[in-house]
Amino acid sequence: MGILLKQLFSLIRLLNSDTGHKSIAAGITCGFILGMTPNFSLQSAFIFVCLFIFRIQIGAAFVAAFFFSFIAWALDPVFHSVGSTILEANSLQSLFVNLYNQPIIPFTRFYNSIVMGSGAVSFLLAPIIYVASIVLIKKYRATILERFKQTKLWKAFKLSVVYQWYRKYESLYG
Amino acid sequence: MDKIKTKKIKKGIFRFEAILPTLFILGLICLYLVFFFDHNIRKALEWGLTHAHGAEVNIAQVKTSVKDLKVGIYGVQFTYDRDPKLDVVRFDEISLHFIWKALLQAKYIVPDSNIKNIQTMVERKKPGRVLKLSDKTGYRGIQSGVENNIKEQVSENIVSDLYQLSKGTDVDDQLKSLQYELKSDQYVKNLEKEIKEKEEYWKKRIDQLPKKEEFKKYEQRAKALSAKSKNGLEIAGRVKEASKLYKEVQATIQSYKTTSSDLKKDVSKYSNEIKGIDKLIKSDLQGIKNKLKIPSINPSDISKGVFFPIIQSKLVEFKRYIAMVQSYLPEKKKENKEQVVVPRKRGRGKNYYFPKKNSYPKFWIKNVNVSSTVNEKGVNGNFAGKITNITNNPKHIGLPIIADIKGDAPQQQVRGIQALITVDHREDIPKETVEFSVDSFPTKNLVLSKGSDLAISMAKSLLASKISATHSNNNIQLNLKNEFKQPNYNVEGKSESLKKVVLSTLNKMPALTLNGSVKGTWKDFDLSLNSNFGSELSKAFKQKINDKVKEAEDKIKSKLFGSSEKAKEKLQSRFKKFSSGSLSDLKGKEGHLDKIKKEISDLKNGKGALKKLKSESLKKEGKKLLKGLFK
Repeated sequence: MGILLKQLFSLIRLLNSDTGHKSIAAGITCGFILGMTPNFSLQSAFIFVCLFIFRIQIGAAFVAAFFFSFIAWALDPVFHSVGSTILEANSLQSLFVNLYNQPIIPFTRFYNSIVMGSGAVSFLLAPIIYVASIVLIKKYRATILERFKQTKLWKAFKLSVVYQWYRKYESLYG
Repeated sequence: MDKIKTKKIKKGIFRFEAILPTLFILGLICLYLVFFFDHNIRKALEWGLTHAHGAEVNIAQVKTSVKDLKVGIYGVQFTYDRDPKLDVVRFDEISLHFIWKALLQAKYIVPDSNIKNIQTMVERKKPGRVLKLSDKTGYRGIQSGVENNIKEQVSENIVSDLYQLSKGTDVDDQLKSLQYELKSDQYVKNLEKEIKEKEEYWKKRIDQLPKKEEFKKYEQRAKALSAKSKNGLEIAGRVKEASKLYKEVQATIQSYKTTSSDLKKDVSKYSNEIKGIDKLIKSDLQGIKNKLKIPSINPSDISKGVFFPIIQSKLVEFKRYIAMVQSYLPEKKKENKEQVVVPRKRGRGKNYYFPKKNSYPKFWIKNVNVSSTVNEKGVNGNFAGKITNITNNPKHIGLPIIADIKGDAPQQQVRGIQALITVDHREDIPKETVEFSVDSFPTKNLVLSKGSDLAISMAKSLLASKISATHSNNNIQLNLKNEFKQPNYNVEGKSESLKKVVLSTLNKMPALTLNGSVKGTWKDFDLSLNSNFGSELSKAFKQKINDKVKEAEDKIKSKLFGSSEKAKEKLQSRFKKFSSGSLSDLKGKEGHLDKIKKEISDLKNGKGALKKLKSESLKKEGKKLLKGLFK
């Protein structure tokens, strides 16, 4: 429960920060793909490399991966049936035979029904998740966050010494 | 308020500031691979092999080369779980050479590998750790089933049993503690009661029959009828009376005859039932003999009893290694497997295979060269052979796993070792076969029979052995041929005479043979064993044992069935006396009545004369009437 709350707070903190919304949305999308993939495979490694190379919010990725892995666990039967359908498709057999006997490709474990199903679903939904994340983050920041900043409670809190100390700490070590 | 403002820097899409940390992490990984990876692999292998083998496995060094994809494992020692001071097998070097082409396809292919300098039964520097049965994985905890099955089929120490019987005291002791309900005893009691009731019934029935007084009355009446008379009417009256008397006597005779016949039937019935006591005594005796486990002098039983520990160990070893091989190979889908609800693990799914013709399976060691030569460093065996096609998918490559190894260990005087092991999992029903033979193997202190009354062991001998075993679909067939040459026996026992008989029998044999077979499933198999030891010992013991078995049987008979026998004899004589007395009495009376009947029958014969007499007097009367008419 502690980890869950910690992750949740870190996500809220991230949303409330000045971090770019595209960076956070990309992080959420990467986390979505990571969370959907059942075990570590080549595609997971690829996502990690992307996280390091590109300016993607790593924290958002890990938080999203953490939450989406729960959803994925519940969706495993769906992934299995989607994956089985793809892997058993007659028209794709020759492609799979070729891929299976190619170098590197087998490390993706595409031949596993759940890996294939979750991979297909997550890569298909990734652009939607990205766009949806941008929209939601923007909306959150424009409405909820702004409204909260206008409350008397927040204004009072901002005048407090505790907040001043926090701002100072944030600017130095944040 | 917002005095403290952070300077906003426009950042690009690439995270250039992460280059250094990434390089640092990569550097750390490289350092780990160079300095710690081999050590960790060694530790992981030791842990895994120890749990698979069930006793400590030590590895001196592991060397990996990423560039050449080579793995070298040096100084591998497998502790012997029965004697942790020894290594059951030790390899100086195992080298594996993977190929890049396959590894890039996530397949682990070893075209050629080597196992060098094999040693067996070598003393360890310090005793190895043996895992507890509960810690042992998979195939290690399966021996109890086999042991129980063998125990059911063999009398564990038949030689000692024979000795116990030959002493003659065992039966007495066993009888004291034996709780056995004698069917014959109960039967005799019931029969006794029934016969007593029948006796009373017959006494009553015989008493109800006409007695001697009535016979006298018949005689008197007959005598009265036989008095002379010339009066025709009187004669006619007597004849009538005689006829009536005849009928009465006839009826009495009939009642005697019916009674006699019924009695005879009962006599026959109860005679048979009394004879039935013998059958029940026999059945009771057999039941008690079974309970007492009186051994039969069957050479096969003696062989089974004596060689029980040897066969047991061989079977347990065989089952252990079959289970070990099976645990690493794909299992056939079990039908009607009980569904157990367990928390679902993520990402299991179903793996699909898309093999190409002549493509690689997931794991395949094509060839393992086994070589070992005796040298000054302490290697004690000359071995040569090959293990081919170790794979996770034998169906795909279409070849079975075959291990063919030959050699000898001169220092240990082990010569002519040949092992051919075939593990064929190409079909749905897997089949494993083992052919093993050794021309000469020195045995020391081999215990053949261990009992408090008699213990036989072989101080030393040279064993020539041939074992062939097949396992398929949980069915086993094991054939064993052993010959112990130049044996040196030790016989210990309480009885000097018994020791002498056993020792002289054993010393007469130039070699001790032990041939056997096991057929069936692991849970239910037939064990067949024969040995010249069994037949020779049974010959020597035969007369002695026969006498003692007879003596024991007689003892049981007299002890348990003495009362039944006596009761039976008493019952028989009593019934005989009663039945013969009653029957002779009835017969005597019947004879008497016959005599009376005959006399009355003679009286009845007077009926014709009376008729004659009647017609003559009528004629006379007629003549008188005619004369009166003509006057």
